[in-house]
Amino acid sequence: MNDNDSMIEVYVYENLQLLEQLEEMLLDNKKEMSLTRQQIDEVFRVMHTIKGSSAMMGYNGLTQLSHSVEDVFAILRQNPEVPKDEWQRIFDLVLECVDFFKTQIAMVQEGLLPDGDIEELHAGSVELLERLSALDVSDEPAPVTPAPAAFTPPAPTAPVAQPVQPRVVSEAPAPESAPAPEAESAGSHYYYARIIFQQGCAMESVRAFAIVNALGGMYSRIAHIPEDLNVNCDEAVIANGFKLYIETTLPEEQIKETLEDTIFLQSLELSELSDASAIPVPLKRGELPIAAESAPVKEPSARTENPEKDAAKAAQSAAAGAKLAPKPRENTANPAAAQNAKTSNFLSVKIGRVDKLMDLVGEIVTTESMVSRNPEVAALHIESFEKSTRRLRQLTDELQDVVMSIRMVPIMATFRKMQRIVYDMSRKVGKETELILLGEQTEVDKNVIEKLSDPLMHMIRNSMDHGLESPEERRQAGKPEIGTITLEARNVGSDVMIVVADDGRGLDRDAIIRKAIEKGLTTKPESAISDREAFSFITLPGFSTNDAVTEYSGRGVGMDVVCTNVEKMGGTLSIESEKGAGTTFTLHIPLTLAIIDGMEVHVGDEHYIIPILNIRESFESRLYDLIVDPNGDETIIIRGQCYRVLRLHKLFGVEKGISDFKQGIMVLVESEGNSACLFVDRLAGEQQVVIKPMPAFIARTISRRSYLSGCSIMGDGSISLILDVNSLTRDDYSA
Amino acid sequence: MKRVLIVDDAAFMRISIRNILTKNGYEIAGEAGNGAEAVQKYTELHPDIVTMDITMPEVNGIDALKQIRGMNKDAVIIMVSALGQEAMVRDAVLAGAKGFVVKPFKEETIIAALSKL
Repeated sequence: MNDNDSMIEVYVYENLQLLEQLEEMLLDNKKEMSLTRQQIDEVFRVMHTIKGSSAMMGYNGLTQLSHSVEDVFAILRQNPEVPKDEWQRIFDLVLECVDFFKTQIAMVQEGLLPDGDIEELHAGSVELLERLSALDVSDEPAPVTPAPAAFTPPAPTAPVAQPVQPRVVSEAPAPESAPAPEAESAGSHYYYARIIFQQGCAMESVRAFAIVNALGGMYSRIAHIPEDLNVNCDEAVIANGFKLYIETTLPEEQIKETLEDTIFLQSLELSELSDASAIPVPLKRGELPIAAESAPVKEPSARTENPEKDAAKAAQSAAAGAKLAPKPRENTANPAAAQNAKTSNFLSVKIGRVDKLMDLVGEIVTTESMVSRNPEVAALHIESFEKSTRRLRQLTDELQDVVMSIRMVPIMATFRKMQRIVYDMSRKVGKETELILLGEQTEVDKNVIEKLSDPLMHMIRNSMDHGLESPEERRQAGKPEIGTITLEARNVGSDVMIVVADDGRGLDRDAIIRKAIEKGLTTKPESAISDREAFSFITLPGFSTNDAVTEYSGRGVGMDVVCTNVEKMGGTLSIESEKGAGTTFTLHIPLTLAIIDGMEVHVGDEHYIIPILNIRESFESRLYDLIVDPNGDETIIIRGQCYRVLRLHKLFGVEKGISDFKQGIMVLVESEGNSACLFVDRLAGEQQVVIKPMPAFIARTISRRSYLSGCSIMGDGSISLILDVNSLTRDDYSA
Repeated sequence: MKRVLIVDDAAFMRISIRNILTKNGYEIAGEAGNGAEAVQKYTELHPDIVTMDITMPEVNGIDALKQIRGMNKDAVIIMVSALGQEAMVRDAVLAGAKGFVVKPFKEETIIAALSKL
């Protein structure tokens, strides 16, 4: 990777992170619809950083846009008291810019040039700036220049008088002791200097200012062209050079030395003038702000004696000179700053590397069991070998846990994204909505998080669009006008449970059933359809149609896509709803898609894996009586509870499987509140398995594919199929 | 070999400067992400040169400059500023900054500035 690639990577990573933070902050403040001084500083800084790095990368559009937003916040820093509707515009502008920056940065990530059209946003930002500047003028009694603050020259600094004389005296005793300032002093030399700065060094007027500052104490009187260095006169300095006239008792050599120290000095002309008459501008002394300002800084003793006063003075001068809001110095003041300080303890790693590591660990887990369960070695019963393999097993377990934990990230970022969607949509559809986030700290595998974002977004949109009623309807129904959507994440065993609940109008069960029957999605009589079943119709492809949007509160729109996505992750979706009270979508997603603890069971020559978390107990079949109903469906009763029996050999068509009920083993499994007894030949032992997606050719040749969640390579190299207990127990099927 | 402390709240800028300086024979004494950290690292590391960003959280570059110059009046600090920060750069000059570069800068620009120090 060359320098440029790594810089692009840092550029993308850092700026995206800043934009996320920014977006989050704005959304957190949407209720107040204003920002605190610190938050304004924060936005300013983010824009400033984006501007700086974009400029370095040569992304002109992004530089220009971030600069104009920065200017808006520079104005706000001076005057944060703006009317609410202006705040609304500011929020809109920044959020739109955040979106724009994100798409542009995504282009950078793809290796493209971010050449999106900034025109509209830039114009919006300039317009806002003008309006805020106008406000600034009318609100602020002090005559502050309303132009972009970034370009505002500092007001002449206040504490001019006191420190000037003593300092100048101490640093340049010779000229100061000379009397009669206005007259030509005896022994004085007059020098003319013309300084040209290197092309493109920028801020030439400030560089000229710095030269005068550097000469501080070396002259008795001074004059220069341009005369006022506190305003932007870059053009003049570039065109004509910076001309200096100095009255001093010091030798030319000393002046030359100081001038030659100037950074970015292209050329220096220095000559002595015969007298002051050749100087076209009046020589001045003591009027430069230089001495006044630098005094406290150049006197360390004063500082140590009275640090507090000094700090106050520094803050004051900063406020006066740069119009910078005094910044709090306490550590506690700024959480973002505190976070910034902490960041050095974190290491950001490319996800690709962690993926690779995860793959390797998966291979190690497999190989470990290949070695430790090697039948030939196992037959030797070597105690030391078994001891070592046990230790190896422990270590691979630990290694796996660690790698898994690296991949775990809080779901917070995904949840926060939803806040933005609610913010945008609530304005679009005119339904004020509160999004309550619970369990944001819940950690989920990075891969899962990425795949979760789309389904969640879809469900939230559905809830906003169709679930929640209009404020009018809500008022009539006696509900609070502001709708509520709750987004909650929680760990449940090896799954993460995600709930999207709204307090809207709920699903119309009867209408859905009618529609399902009409569409031929079910053949059951209406009375035999449970609520759960009825609601699950909306996740079937083909249920969602345009008229469903209006007739059945449109919950069908895209829900089949959501359901498919969730199932692809090995998860499940269930729906509960009460008419008039709201709808709750519950997702169960495995925390990780990679490794599970499984029980290996044998059926004939076939090996299957049942996830340990789904197993409640296992027992010999002969302990219980088998009940067969007239349809041929088999059940057994355990402790008074009736369970369906699923014979795996029948289900998967395994010919050699044990069919005598008394000789087999029962495994009672449970998922999502549904349970069943799986009938197998024997249990072969517990082990960790790495889930591999089912190769397409296997998937095609196996019947009942949907009852399998994947496959795994076992220690001896054979392939086991992993049972999807959820679909096994849920489905109403006849084997 | 001159030892440089790089102060900037943006990792991008720190890395840019670091890459340029190491390529040109400077040693990176350390890096800091805000003014407070800069002051602390300055006292710990005693670098020959500090490159100081201006806009930073908590303690900005100007305040950090003042604090460092308060401890050591010979501290060599060069400001890394951006267009639009003229006023603050003037402040920095008054507070004793030895010079300043303006973002975006080229490799030769910052090296030219540092070689003068």
